This record gives sequence, C-alpha cells and structure tokens, in this order.
Amino acid sequence: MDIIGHYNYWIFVILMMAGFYVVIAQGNLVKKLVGLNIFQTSVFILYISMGKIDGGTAPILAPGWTVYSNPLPHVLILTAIVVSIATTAVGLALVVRIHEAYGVIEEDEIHRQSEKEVL
Amino acid sequence: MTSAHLPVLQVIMPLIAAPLCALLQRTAASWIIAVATALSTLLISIALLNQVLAAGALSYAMGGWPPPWGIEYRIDLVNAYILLIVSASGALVAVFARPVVERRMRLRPEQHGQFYALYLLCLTGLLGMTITGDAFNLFVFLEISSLSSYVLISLGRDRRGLTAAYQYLIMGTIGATFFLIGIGLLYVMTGTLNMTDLAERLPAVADTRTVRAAFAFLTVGVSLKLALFPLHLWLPNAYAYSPSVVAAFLAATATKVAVYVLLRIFFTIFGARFSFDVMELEYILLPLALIGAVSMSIVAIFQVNVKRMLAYSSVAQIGYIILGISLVSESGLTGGIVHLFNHALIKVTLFMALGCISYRVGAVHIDRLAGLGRAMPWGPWRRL
Repeated sequence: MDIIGHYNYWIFVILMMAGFYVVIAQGNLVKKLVGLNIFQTSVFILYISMGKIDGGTAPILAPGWTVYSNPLPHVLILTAIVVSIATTAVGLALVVRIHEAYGVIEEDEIHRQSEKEVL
Repeated sequence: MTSAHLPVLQVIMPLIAAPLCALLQRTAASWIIAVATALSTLLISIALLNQVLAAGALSYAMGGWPPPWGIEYRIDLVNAYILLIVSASGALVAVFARPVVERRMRLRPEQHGQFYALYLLCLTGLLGMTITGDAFNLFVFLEISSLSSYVLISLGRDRRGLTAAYQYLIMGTIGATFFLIGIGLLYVMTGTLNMTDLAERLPAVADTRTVRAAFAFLTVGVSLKLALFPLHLWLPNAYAYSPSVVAAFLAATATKVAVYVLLRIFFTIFGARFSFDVMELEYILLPLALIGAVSMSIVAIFQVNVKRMLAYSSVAQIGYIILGISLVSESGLTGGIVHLFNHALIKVTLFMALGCISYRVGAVHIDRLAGLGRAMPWGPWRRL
C-alpha cells in the first residue's frame, strides 16, 4: 500500500479533522468559524488533488503535451469556494449581531444569559 | 413551447424575482411580487405533475447540453409530488407573510423587500434541490436554500434567534460539506455527477472502500440537514425563535426536501440493494427513528413555549418518516412518503395558526394563552 505517494489525501484528512475538532472544541464563536473554514478548505484540497494527473498539464491543447489534468473538479471547487466565502460572511455577520445583543462572543456566557430569559 | 421549459422556469422565476424584491424597497410591491412568484411556481408544479402523470418521467437538458455532460433536470412522480408540497407551502406562507413581516420582525420598512428576496431565494434553493438530477447542482441549491434560511431564522425579535441561526449555520455547513466530500468520492470512482449515470456506473465499483465512505458521508450529511435524531440539535431553537412565517415555511419544506434527497441517494444513486442489503443501513436508521419519534414526542409534551413544542414534534415526525423508509418495504416507503405530505400540511398550518395567535396575544408561552377562546372566539386556535 502506497502511503507516502498519496500524501495530499493525508493532508486532506488531517486538515479536515483539525478543522472539525476546532469547530467542536472552541467556545469562541469567531474561532469556531475559523475551524469551519479549515474544514471546508480541506475539501478543496481533496477536489483539487483528484483532478490532477501526474505529469499532466493544464487542459489547453498545446504541442508537445499529451496528458492533461481533469478541469472539472477544479471548476466544481470554484463554486464550493464561493459557497464557503458566503457561509463565512453570513457567519461573521451573525457573530457581529450576537455581540451587539449579548455583549460577548463566548458560547458559555451566551448560554448563561439565555437561560435567565423567560421562555 | 413554454411547456417544454417548465422545469427550468420553476427554478429561474423565484431566482429572478428575488433581486427584484430586494431592489424595490417598497413593502407592498415586493410582497405582491413574492406572492405572484410563489403562486406561479405552484401553477408550474401542478402543470409538471400533470405532465409526469400523463407521460412519465421528464428530462430537461439545461442549456441544451445533453446529459450526462450538461446538468439534467429530471422529474418523476416523487419529484413532482415534492415540488408540489414545496411550492404549495411557499405560496401559502407568502400570502400570510405580510403582517408578520411588517410588525413582528427586526426590520426597518425599507428592508422588507430584502426579506422577500431571501424568502424567494430559499424557495429557489428548495425547488432546485428537488428538481435537479445532478449531484453537484444539488449541493449548490442546498447551499442557496441553507444560506438564505440562516438569515431568515435570525430575523426574529428574540435575540436567541441569532444564536439559533449561528448554531444552524455551523451544523448545516458541516452537513453540506460532508455531502460535498461524498460527491467528490463518487466522482473519483465513476467520473460522473449525473444521478442516473451514477446509478449505472456505481455497481461496477460498489465493492470498494471509497464508495462505502461516500455513502456514509452522503447519509450523515443529509441526515444533519433533515434533523434525524440525534443530529436534530439545531432544529428546536431554530424554529422556536425564528419569525412564525419562517418557521412555518421551513418546517413544511426544508426537512421534507432533505428527506427526498436521502431517498434519492438510497434508491436512485446507490440502489436499494446496496443501501440496505450490502450496507444494512436499516439497522442504524430504524432504532434512531424509533428513539427520535418517542423521545422527542415526550420532550414536546413538557415544553411551555408552544412554538418549541411544535419544533420538537417536527423532529418526532421526521422519525416517523424515516421509520417508514427504514422498514425497506414498498408499503413502508409509501407510508413515509405520504407522511411527508401530511406533516408538511399540518406543520405549515399549525405554525401559521400560532403566528396569528402571537400576532394577536403577543406571546406563545402556554400560560399566557389562557382565555384565548374569549379573545379569539373564531380564531385559528381551533386547529390546535
């Protein structure tokens, strides 16, 4: 089994797990979003690596080249990057509003304040 | 010739009307546009259902690119039926929305148009998820509907709506990203994104770890979106603290469309044999559905906030629907699909009834609702 040869997939797994862990473990709302970003970025690496072919060039016909990388995953991931940016923007906007409403961005403190409110 | 282009009109119309609403900045005008658009999507989905009933499954090649290279919109009976549920709820809620938007939201008058824009975008996303036959296109529509629903949820006057929306954003994004990973792994194995094409090519490579991992990622990702117990944690707060219009719309449509996507994954893309014979998913789904249905119903009984009560009951109903699917029989599946419609109809009306009550009484707390019969003798509380 070739472990080192597929190192980019290992990076994908490590980044994904690291991002996922940050999302779960952090109480700070902004840091959670950072973790979410790492998590999403790892998927970009997955898509980009699977389109790449060893020795392949960009998919533009040119003399001297016979092997081309698959452009489709790269195009797909452009869409996913846009989605990820939009998610981050909405998330940060929500954090700003939460900060206006509660005065903090720590999950525990927000939870404590919410508990006191009537249902 | 328009009848041939109905599938794309279904998605394009609300998509074009949305920025129009946002630009108008006039409450009445943007409300009329939203209602007209929602009603026309309803008409289109009725026409589509008729076409499907008459001639079987429809296939629409987006931009004239033949599938599997281009994006295909594929409508069969299940599709057409879910489209009808979504667009009917969308139209109903749009008609009802105006007084709630004007009085019970954290919005300035010039922002009302933006509310309708988001509402139509959410409708676009949900209709698109239902109608598309392309796995990646489904992800894009999933994100369109999710992103707009995060914002819609945060618009209530209760500040806890903000944290509920944030929590939904985190969990929804994790779910959508899992879905994206699943699609990526499938693409690696088959080189296609078209669902029918995937179904043809998957059996040849089905016995690999990659395909099994893709199946797991897709299932977990979509289960997060449809709030399958124990992945439902975002739902109660999101419904309880969002404006009643939004709660009614999302309760009737968002989780239903996610259930439909799950059905597509199980039965169209992977096929029932792979999902239930090879992966034996029913042994996971059945207990979760049962625990969800029973425990969430019990939790719902003890809620004092009626909106929260309905939200927990929504999770329980999802349990019933998944239970029907996990029985892996024709009648179980039929029951689950029929219950989709039942639940959508009941929940949209219940949430709207509750919206009327909170509009009149100013509260959804069960103690404050005492004497409601005197305040609203002919009011919608009779539905409760």
